[in-house]
Amino acid sequence: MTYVLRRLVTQLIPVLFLASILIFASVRLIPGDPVAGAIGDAMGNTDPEVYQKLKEELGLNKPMYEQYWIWLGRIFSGDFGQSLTGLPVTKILWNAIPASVELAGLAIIIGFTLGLTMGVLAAVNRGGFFDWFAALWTGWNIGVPSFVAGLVYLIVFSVWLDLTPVSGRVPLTEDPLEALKHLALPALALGGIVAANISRFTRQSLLDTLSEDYIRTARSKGLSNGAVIVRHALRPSLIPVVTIMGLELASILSGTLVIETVFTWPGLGRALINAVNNRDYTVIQATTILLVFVFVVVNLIVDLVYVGLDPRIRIGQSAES
Amino acid sequence: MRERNRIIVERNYWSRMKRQRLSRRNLLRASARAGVGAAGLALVGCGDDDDDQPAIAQAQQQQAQQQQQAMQQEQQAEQQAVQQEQQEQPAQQAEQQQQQQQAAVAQAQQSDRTDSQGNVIQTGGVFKRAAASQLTLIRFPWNSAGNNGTIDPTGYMYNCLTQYGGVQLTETANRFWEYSNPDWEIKPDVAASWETPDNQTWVFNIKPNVVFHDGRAFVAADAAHSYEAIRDPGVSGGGSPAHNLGKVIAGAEAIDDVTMRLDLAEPRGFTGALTAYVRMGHPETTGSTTAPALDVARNEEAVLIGTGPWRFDTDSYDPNTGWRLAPFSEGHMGAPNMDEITYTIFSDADAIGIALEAGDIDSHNGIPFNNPETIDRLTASDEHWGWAGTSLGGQIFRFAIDVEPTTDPRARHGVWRMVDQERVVRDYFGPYDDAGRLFFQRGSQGYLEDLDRPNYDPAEGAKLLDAAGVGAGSVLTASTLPIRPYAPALAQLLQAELSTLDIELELEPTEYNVMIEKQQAGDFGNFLIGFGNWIRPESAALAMVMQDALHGEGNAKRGGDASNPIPVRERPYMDNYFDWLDMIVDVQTGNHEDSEAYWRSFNEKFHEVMFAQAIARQRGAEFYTNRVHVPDPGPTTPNPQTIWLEQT
Amino acid sequence: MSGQVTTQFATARFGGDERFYVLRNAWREFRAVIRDPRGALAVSVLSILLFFAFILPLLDPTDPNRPGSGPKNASISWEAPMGTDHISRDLLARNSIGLGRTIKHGFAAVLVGWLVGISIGYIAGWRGGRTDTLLMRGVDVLLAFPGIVFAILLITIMGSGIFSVAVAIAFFNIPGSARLARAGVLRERERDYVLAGRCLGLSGRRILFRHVAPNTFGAFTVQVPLAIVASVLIMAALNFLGLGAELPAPTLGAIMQEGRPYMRDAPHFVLGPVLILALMLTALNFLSDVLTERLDPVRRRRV
Repeated sequence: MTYVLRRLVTQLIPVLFLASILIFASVRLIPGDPVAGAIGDAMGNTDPEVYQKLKEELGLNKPMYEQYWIWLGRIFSGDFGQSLTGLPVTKILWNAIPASVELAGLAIIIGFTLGLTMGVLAAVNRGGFFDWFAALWTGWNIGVPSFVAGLVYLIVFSVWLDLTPVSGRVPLTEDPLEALKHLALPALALGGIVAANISRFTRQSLLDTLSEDYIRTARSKGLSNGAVIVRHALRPSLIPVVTIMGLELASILSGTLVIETVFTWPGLGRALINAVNNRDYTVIQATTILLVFVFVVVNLIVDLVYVGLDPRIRIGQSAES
Repeated sequence: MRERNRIIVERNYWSRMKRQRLSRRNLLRASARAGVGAAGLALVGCGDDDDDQPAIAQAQQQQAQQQQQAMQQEQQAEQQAVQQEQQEQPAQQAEQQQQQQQAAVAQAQQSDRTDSQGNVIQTGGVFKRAAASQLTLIRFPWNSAGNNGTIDPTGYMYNCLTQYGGVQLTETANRFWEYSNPDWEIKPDVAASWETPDNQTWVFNIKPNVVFHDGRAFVAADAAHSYEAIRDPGVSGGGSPAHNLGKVIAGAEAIDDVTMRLDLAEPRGFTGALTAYVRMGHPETTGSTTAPALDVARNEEAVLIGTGPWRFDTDSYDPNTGWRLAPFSEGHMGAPNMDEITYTIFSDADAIGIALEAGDIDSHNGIPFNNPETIDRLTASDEHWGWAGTSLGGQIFRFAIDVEPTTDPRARHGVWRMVDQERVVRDYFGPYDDAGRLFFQRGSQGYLEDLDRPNYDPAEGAKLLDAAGVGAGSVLTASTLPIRPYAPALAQLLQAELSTLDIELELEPTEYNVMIEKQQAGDFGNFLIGFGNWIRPESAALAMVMQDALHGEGNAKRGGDASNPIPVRERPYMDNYFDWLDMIVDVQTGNHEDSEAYWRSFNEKFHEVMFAQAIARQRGAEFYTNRVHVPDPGPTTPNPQTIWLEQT
Repeated sequence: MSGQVTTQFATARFGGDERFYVLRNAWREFRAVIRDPRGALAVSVLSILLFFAFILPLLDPTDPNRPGSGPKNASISWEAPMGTDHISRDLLARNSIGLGRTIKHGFAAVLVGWLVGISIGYIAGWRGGRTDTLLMRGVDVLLAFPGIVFAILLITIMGSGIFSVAVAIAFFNIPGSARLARAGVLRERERDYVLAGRCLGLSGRRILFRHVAPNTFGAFTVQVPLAIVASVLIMAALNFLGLGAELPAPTLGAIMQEGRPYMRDAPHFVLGPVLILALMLTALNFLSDVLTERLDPVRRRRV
């Protein structure tokens, strides 16, 4: 518990604070009139009085640090400002978050289960069918970027085989089956590379463990191969895999950005890319800060899980490195 | 593949729009049938037109494949219609069709509700359409630039005072063009009738049964409010087509609940564009006439309220997903056939093509694929049918006329000569280009065949550029729309041509909404590629040209300084422009002679000033899945009010 | 990761010709790598790709940016071994220049990122205390951004272009390398040879750069290929999203983006750069695997 608190105080909060300054400053660095930007008036046709009023309303007449505090305060009260599309950014985020969570969630499930299964089977069945399959899968996913793989899946599964829809989203709460159909391809594209990395790592880790002396001891006790793997080898081999899983969680967050664009998936990534394309700076700010927050929290949780799993890690050490 | 470029298209501009079957075979045969009438398909939001609704001559036909029973009925009826117009049907096929047709009619008679072709009209179902970009709700509906129009592609969410044919379209000066086709007459929409004593004061009688989506009755004061709103740059957005149109208005006033008077600053003939283009908005919910107008975030009450048969579902709108339209049955236009229209926003036209092919959407809402292969595949598919026709608009390569060095007409000419139009058309538009790159369209009185030709001549271009002082080492800039494959492609072709002269062309990929902003602000580099106006008789783009001519506004504001527009006549290097502008004013006021010599001189001057010109004039191709039925659309676009769906 | 690194790669030595021993060790290491079949494969594939990217353009006079006059999207033929693109440019020339640009900018960015990152890590690890906290907090901020998000933010500020992308990739590489370098220094700092160096009166800087630093290199050799993989992927993704491409100059991602609308009609257009990228990424992964095993005595024994 103290460790959690310590991490929060010494790392999480300062990092988020600095990152928010960076994000705030980055949008202010962009040339152009933020008032005109806020109301979508490129012509500068706005009545000077209205302009002044808006400027005050947006707090743009105040010094920069004060603007930052106001901005930060608004974020804490859930007000991310207004998008160029005329909608409150909060609404855009609110719509995008469940989509991203669904996609990332399924991608994680696919990636982890497929990755672990393939990894274990490949290690057990070294040189056999599963090993080859895992190698092929890994080769495909590591060599081919996920967005190209996604396009290939689209053409094969949606257009040629007509198994899944090509775009759009049905909320999981509305129609789970239909939702899964929509989710399947983007989640496969996103989870595929995760599965590849995890299976590679699991296989290696398990093989390493299996060559340990105590495994030989267990075998010499007369335990069956399956029992050895399940009872003795699996648990220690999975500890390093958990680290990789943490890293993969983070990579899924990055991956959604591109995959959502390919599959027209209405998540945070698409919101960010759309906002960049339309120079909708308030949305860029809000999405990046949200992504950073999630990313940092996910990393923290992964660290905590890792600490929990491996008691050898001393709190002092892990805070250091 | 190439021979499809030689399709003989019925060229007559308005009077001979053809009903065309969109199949490979028929494209090759280039069957053109006269007399069906012009059909307009408002492709607003189809992306290429930033501010205006291109009309497309349409025809609809199903693929002649065996389909389900209901499909067969429609097909047979279709074929019957085709047969009547098209005398080239083989006799045996005709006989066969006659039988089918009798069967279809027999079946249709059993139904309660049939269309003019005897098809059973079903009600209900969700019509799924695609959109190409986000909406900008701010200043909706009065600033209808760009894909804001997507929300209301056929004008059925917002009504206007009048309509063109069945569709709302825009028209600036009908004296430019003589419409021989009666279907392009102005028809009443929310206005029942109108009269003018002097072409300057217009009195409109508003229909008494028009209702806003919130239930309030629409009165003349609301119409007057809409006209006042578009005059206010803070509301309509300065530089927007609507605002430019509104510049001729001196005032709008409600005399009583059903009578509105529109005063113009100067006498005009029928002000078609003003009455068919300006949408009737709800004053209380769409802001006041002082800026900022519709501001959904700051004004909780702000919702998009119109008078059409489809109602915008504000809660459904998400700029990353799309939106839905709900039926509004209390309006003066009656209830639509379907339960709902949904719009899904796609990131590019190609994604839309795949979604259409996979059956995810029913129609692509006019977004041009700009990729002949996609169109070919959809055309050949049994699952789809399409409307196609001679487009009346075009893809424009647009110059900024008051940015060095393009202020010099020779520089514009020079660049223009460097564009290999034939190649661009062949590779990116295929058979969907309807050649004709003059300001005047085929069939219009000012059209001259021999002047309508591609200008590709790099040697001449080099000379002109040199004469304009654009020599080796110069740098030109162009904004390109990246989502259309042809735009970066064309830009790179031009880049290569210019690089042989040691002129650098810097490309600035610019997304749609940003393009609109740039164009409205006049704040782009030397030119825009892949984003232009559909210049045609009724277009608001043309309205901008006209306003430019008359008032020196429109495209002439630099650096966003709206308060200080440079009147065209005061701009440097514009000597050649003036003669042409004078001619435009003459034509607009009817003070011109209708002789070939006159039009030749007009067109030649147009070539000289080279304000903007079409590289390709894309024929409209709008594809639908077989689920969608359009009861004999006649001259009008398939509109979501009358479309019905196969229940699945 | 770094915990497994032993000092076998670069034993601390005092006296003798110190200048070349890193190079000599690298050469020895290289020979060991190519003795492993995967290593040999990776090295040969990478050599071929380097040839493809840098020598081929010298031999082939085709201008990669000059539109041809033939039909667009022409399939693979003798004249155009990788086909042509949508404005009839030769895709062989484009891919080769594109790979070259990807390598040049990607590698330069990775190099700069690692140099900066390693310096930060060394300083933080060697100085310790407040400097350490401050520097590593900065690194944590960078680490708080998912790589591509930071790149997008940077491109929003700096404008689109390959330079922005390169800067973003450099930043992306800083945190990992800084942490790796710092961990190495922290570990080595406590070793006896450092103490010995101190006793001999060597300056702190000399001990750090001459003796401590070489012992941290082992971990880098494993991570650099992986960093390149991640960087190249981010670069391709950004270009694919239409950010960071400068037409007409190609990169692998930009070619994929241009070819995307033609994926079904002209698959060779997209598949060319995909194949090159796949070869490169797989080779780099192999290389990293082999190096990992080299540096891990336990596994080395087993192999």
